[in-house]
Order: sequence, then structure tokens, then C-alpha cells
Amino acid sequence: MALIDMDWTEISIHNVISEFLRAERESFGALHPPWLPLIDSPI
Amino acid sequence: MIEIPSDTGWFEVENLTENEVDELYVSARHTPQWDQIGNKLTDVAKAAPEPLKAPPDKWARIILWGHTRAGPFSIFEGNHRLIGYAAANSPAPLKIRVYVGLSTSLCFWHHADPSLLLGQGVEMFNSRQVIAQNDWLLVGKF
Repeated sequence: MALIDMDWTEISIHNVISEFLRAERESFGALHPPWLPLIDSPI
Repeated sequence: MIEIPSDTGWFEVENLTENEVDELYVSARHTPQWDQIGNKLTDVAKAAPEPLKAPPDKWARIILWGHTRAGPFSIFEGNHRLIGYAAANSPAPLKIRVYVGLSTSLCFWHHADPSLLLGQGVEMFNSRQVIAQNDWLLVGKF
């Protein structure tokens, strides 16, 4: 099955940024300790 | 800084499995060796393998980008993880949710788009073609 046949749900770019930052934190953990929020004030 | 086109629409897609790995390309212009190989994930994994450091269910979300739902898709986040998965001998089955961005605009990091920075964000309508030729980006009807 190809990706086009899967379930697609529209999301906000905030979801994308949050996951991008989480991946960065996992790659460079010392710079972004897990007790710090990924986004301080997303509004 | 080179951005992802601002008109990108974002989706969560359920699920990416090992059957779709063949549709993926690593980011263009990220690593010269990847570009020389042609950016296809499975080819890059054979020529420049990397270790699989964690199982897929422990990964942060993989982020893909393309022009249409039919692909092909470039990996914008998770290149090293997916190279590690594609290079692994007997990896666990892949079944993960991924984020996918779609835009008709050109993107510097997408393997199928021209590398010229000037073309960043140029929209590709059905009636237009974009051709990279002699260091010029030609946009129009040819």
C-alpha cells in the first residue's frame, strides 16, 4: 500500500514545530533538558 | 535561512510502514554523498549505512514533505533514523504515524526540486513549468 492510501488528517503547524523540537531535544539532549517545555507560550 | 514554503499544508498520516519506505528520499542538499547517490532512501542506506539507535516506536515524529499525496516524499526530519532502519538487517516492523507537508511551491530541501535558492517558494501551477537551466530558473509556459 502507498502512503496516498493511508488516513490523512489535517493538523496545525504547531504540531509539526513541537515534534521537530522534540526530535532536536532527543538529538542534542544536553541543550534541551526534558523538564523544560518545548514551547513556552505557543499563543 | 532557507525555509519550508509558507503555503505548506500539514497532515498526520496513519501509518508509515516498511512497504512505503521505497517511496522516501532523504533531504536534498543536506549531505553531498546523499545527493551523489540520488537521495533515494534505500540506495543511500546501502551506500552510506548508519546504525539504528532506537526502535521506531521510540522515535520522535518523522516529518516528510512533497508536492502531492502521491509523493514522492523527502524526509525533512528523521533522515538518520530512517537510514538506520533501511540499513538494518532484521528491523522490527515499521508502523508509525508521520507528519507530511504538502505544497505546490518549490522547496530547496526537496530532492525533486531545483537547487537554486531563487526558486524557493515559487508556486507551480498546472499551466506553468519550472526549468533550471544554465544557473537560471525559468518559470512559464514552454
